Amino acid sequence: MADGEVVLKVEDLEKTYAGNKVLNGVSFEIDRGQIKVICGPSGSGKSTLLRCLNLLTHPDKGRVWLEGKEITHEVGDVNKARQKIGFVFQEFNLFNHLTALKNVSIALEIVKKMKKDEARDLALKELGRVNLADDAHKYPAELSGGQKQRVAIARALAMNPVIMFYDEPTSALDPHLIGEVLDVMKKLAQEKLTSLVVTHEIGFARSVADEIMFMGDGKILERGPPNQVIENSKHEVVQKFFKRINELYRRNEA
Amino acid sequence: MAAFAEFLPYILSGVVWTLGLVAGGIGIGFVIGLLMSIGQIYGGEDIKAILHAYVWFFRSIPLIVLLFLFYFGVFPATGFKLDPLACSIVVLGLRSGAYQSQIFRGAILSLGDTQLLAARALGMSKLRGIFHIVLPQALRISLPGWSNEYATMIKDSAITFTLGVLEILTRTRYVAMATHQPLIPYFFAGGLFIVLTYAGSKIVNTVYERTKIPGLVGRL
Amino acid sequence: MSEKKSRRGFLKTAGVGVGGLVVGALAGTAVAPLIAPPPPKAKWADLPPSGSTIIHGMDAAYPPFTQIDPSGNAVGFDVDVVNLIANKYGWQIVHKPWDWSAIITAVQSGDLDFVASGMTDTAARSEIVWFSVPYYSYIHQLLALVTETRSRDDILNSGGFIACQTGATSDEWATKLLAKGYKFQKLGLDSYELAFKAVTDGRAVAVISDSAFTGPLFKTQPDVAAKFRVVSTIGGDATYGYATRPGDYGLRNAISHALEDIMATTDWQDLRDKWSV
Repeated sequence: MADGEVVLKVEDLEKTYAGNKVLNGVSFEIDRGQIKVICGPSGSGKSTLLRCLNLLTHPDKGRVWLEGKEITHEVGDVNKARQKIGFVFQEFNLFNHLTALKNVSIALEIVKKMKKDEARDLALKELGRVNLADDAHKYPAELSGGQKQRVAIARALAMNPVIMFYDEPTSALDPHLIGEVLDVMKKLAQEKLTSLVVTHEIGFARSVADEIMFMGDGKILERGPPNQVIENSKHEVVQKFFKRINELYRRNEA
Repeated sequence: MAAFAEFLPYILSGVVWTLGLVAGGIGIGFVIGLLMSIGQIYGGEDIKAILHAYVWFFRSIPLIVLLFLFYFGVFPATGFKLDPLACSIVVLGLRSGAYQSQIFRGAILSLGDTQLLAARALGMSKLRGIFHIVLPQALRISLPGWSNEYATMIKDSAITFTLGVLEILTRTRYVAMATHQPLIPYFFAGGLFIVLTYAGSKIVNTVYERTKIPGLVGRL
Repeated sequence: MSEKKSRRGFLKTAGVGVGGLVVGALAGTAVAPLIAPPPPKAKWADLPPSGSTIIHGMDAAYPPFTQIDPSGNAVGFDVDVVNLIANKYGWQIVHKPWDWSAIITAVQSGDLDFVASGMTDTAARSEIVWFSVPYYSYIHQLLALVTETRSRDDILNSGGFIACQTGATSDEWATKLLAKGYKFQKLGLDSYELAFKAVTDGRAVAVISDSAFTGPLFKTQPDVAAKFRVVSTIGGDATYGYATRPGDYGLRNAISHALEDIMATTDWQDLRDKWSV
């Protein structure tokens, strides 16, 4: 597991939904330990991109490699590949009929065939990592949005993935709950957990991202270190977008 | 009245037959209904079409007609010699399966597709996801509708009198004739059915309360 | 545009309706002969030996000929006679209550070996089952409340309801009378009991019954008897017989001989008195 090794490689991904070309040739790579953020206006294909990468949706064209092995077009066992990708949904998608602890441990038992107590201990450890060890016995309905998302992160972490996908993880949260989730994500980023994050949270991107990729019209319009993309972009669309976001932030702080 | 009282044990022993019909019918219907609901939601177009036709067939035809069709038609034709009781249980089960499949289908649909999505994102196969994540929730959501199915089945069991099955209603008829009392035995039978329906619904409700999980309701 | 759509929708629904009925009818007509249960090879073409199990089919809702006692055992006039016949030949008899509407089919299919249940030996039935010698004769009558003073023809032409038992010979008589041109409405009930109740309740002006039922009814319930009067006889004598499958000569002949023997004894009248038939 050397540093600099390519964990995820994406080549010319295309996807059409109902006549709309949502992905129009997307290519990039992520090395081990890198944190990459995807920004862009709604409808630019960001969520679709993530879903195509772990093949919950099938791209029309293009290829995806995970740790050097191609996983598109069911080459190899797709389920095995998904075990290595931790996916955090915008709407949390916790299993409603299970406690927080069981949410984290169930995949360990069913997919990784761990023994029940082994799985339970590991699950408790992961919940501790996201500061929720005390709420392990609560059901999702008894948790706040921020807590739910942290359980979702723990659930993904428990599978020991080689890369984490975050699909707008804070967009469904009340503003005062966003911080606790971002803190967990920052901590994981500092631990060099390879991550691909779709988000509007510019502050987060600025502080931990190695690279920001700006998506528009189904393509990556610009990519580079956060400062370059946010402040010194050459594209008018990108400039406009970040100017607008900065205005919104300033208005909130004012 | 005295004459009727003598016959009470005879009518009451019909309760065992009635419960047997209900248990058999609902049991068979449960298995069929659950499998059908999974097929109707996750299956291919061909499977969906066949299941749709099945549901329509058993929803459209009255139970009496079904009983006769199967007892005098389907079973002799296929070489199975089933007695009225076995034939009734099979027909009740096939029909209940059609209705229960709709109950389970509604419950699964109300969950939305995000639960299965999250399960698969963790690396579960579709089948494992359905079995471990979708079904446990769908079954709990189905309980109220299921209680309804039980009540219906109790009443449907009485229709098997047309095949001469010795359940409550058949026995009530015989007693009514033997005692020349056209009314009193039926009052008693009606009371029996009320008790059976109420007791069963109470049990289902208790199960529902015990297994309830806070916040587990289907999406509107 | 929407008018065209709704007309098309209506035609489609009507098409499905008609199509369903036609397919159902054709399927029934075509398939029925193919899947009709094959008549079992004459099981009792020879005299059933002692120890044979013979299944006696009966409608448990036809007292006093066939009914049940509080323990659920079959009892009645016909049950007693059948037991006498069985004793004579050493047969093991199983008395099986069966739904009247399906009882002849059950004999044909082999679920039952014979029917002894106040069954009239009509010509139509004789085409599919064979009857023993007649063992009981009765007549059909039109009965009404004593307060009903109209004549027979007036009642039959009154346009009111006349009660009978569905599927029984009284039902056939009602149909025959309607075909003759009388103006009344047939009220079919599940049993003679209910048919009489319809008259006492005022839901019917008269009832067609057979004296096989009325006789015992009036003897055991004189209060009911007091309310009714016989308006007239309908048709001629009718007789009951025991029905077997064509081809089971052995069984039928054995039953017929036994019946004649029993009817020649004094036990016969005792039996009739016991059940008030």
